[in-house]
Amino acid sequence: MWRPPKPNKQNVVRLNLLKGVESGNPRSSLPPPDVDYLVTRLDRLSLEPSMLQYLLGRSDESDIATSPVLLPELLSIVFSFCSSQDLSSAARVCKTWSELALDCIWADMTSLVPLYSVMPCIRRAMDGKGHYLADVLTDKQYDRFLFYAKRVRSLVLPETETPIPVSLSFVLHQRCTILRFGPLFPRLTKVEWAIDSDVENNVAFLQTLLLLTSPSLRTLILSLKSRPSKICPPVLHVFASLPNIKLKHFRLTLTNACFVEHHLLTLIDKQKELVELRAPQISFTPLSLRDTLAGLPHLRQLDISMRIQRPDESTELEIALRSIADLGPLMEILRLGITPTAKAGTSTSIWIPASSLRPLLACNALTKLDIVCNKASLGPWGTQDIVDMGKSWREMAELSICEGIAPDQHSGICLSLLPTFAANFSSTLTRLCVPFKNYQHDAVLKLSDQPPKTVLQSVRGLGTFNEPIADPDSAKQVGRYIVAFCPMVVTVYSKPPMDPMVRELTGAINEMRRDICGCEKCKR
Amino acid sequence: MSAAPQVTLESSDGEKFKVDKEVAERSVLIKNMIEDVGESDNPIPLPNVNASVLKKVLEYCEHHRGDPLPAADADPSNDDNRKRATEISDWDQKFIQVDQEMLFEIILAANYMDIKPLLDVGCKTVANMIKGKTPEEIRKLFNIVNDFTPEEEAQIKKENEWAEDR
Repeated sequence: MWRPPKPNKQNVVRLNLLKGVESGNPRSSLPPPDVDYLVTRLDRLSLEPSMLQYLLGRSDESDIATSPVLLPELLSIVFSFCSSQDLSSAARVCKTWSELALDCIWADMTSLVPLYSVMPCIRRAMDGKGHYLADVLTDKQYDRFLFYAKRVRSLVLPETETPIPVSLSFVLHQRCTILRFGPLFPRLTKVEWAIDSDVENNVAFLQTLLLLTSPSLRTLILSLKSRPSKICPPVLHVFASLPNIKLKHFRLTLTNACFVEHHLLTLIDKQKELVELRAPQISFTPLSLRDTLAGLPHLRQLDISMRIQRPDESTELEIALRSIADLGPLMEILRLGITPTAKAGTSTSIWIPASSLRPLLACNALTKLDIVCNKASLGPWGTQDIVDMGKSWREMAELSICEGIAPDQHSGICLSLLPTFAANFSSTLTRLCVPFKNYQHDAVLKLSDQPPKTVLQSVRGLGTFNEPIADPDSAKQVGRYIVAFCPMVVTVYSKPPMDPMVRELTGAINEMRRDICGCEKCKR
Repeated sequence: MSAAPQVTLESSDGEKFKVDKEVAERSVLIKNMIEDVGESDNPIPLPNVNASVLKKVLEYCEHHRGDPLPAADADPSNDDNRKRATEISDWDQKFIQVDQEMLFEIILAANYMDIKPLLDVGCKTVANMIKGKTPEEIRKLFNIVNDFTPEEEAQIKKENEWAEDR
């Protein structure tokens, strides 16, 4: 039984602290501590006895000078600095410590094995590979499972995760729905799962997990590897179970899995809160993309692909880009794959007019833009295009257009436009990746506004040059452009053996840099 | 020298401390108070902090006066910023070498006055005190009564063994 402590000095300090916490507004000036008043309030708060002991010290032995015991919220901070081993010890100190330490131990799980191992009905298989359900799941065992499951906040399961016991999902599902014990994972906010083998069983468990998770789930990152026939139906079931959950972040990576846009549409139909949608392998038509985006008013990050029928006519692409642009100031990160639907008999070289990207200029909060073209190139580029991009995208940090695509006669950006980039973008841009004409590989420039001594800028990918630049003078000129763009280039990466032209270029860059920078390191 | 703006802080036992405003504003509580009330000559009462602790806290604030302030909008649930690093700088280490009671008082004061870096230093120090200790050693250290039955304790140990070699 809890008795009010004698108002000795120590208790006064602790009660003061409680007052500060309780009022929720430490700014307000507090009246002088009045222990009796506080004690009556404590009673009304109906705190757990252990909590009272915490706040008041060990009142039953107040004659022994005990050191103040930390408030649970402070103890949680202490535990955030503890290793798993120490937390495991802390969990056995006393019940209050245990609760807080277990919360830390079980918050971020990278395997489900510890979780179902608390139920003795699950046994390890004789061959050591995986577990199986060997007995009836008793109430007591299920309670143990819940005791730990309620602490899990994130579940990140790698491909190597031990197969989940067959029928575990069934048993849990039965328990949870028939007995109405409430959600299995009431605090779970993130699930990341790379499903590689044993797909059906894993997806069944995922489905249970999603069904039985309370609406706390915000992030779902799935990576699926399988044959098409196996993957689609169960995945659809998972998605059908999602409407109870308001996701903010959804990423889906597919390898060898057949998945078309309407599967994804089934999912995001109910997910109006999505902030991030990444499904790079899923290909939309411009019209379906427009309809999808219309239902996602909060979207800030998008990564999808698009297939277009007539890339040379900008209308189709424009429909899609305008729908993205309608999200305008919200859109921060955009990665867009563009694939022309190949028609038999058409020429292999397809190019998309650079002007068709213009609708995106309305997205003036973009910090990252990555346009990936498959079997197509973008161009031609003019000075005005770059000036307009620089004007609209004031926040742009990483700009990548057609990375890794060798430019043809239509596409690519003239090297002489580099200074235009520099003049219009340099204040925020840290990475620029555009196909430069006359290169077989595109140049990647990394920019930074760091002081010379900590510069990390680099020029990468200047491996091979085409004919027009194959003389030292041209190389020097390129070097000069780079320096004009980025005066503190320090590293030029190149695979050994070094191409003589790259050496020439590096030399030109170094020479220019010495002139411009003048710091000790550069002079050497 | 300069006429740097100063403020007066008053501890729970009535002692007054005159410090540079910049130093006092390491405490988010005081910073907000000054913003709310505006500059005034009246002492700012800190009824939860006694003079000896306040002196210690101000010593910390004085030494760290020039440090960049932690981002106010940092997501408190994001433990990545805190990491699990338990390193404490040399000066802080020396500063926090106090008896246990004072250590806890400093943590309480840092929490109340909202001085996150000091709170972290204090909590890291407690975390270091726990390091490598058995539950019984921890109980002894902090004078905690074990309210587990031996069976309960054994069960917790068994169910959490996996975490030991994580």
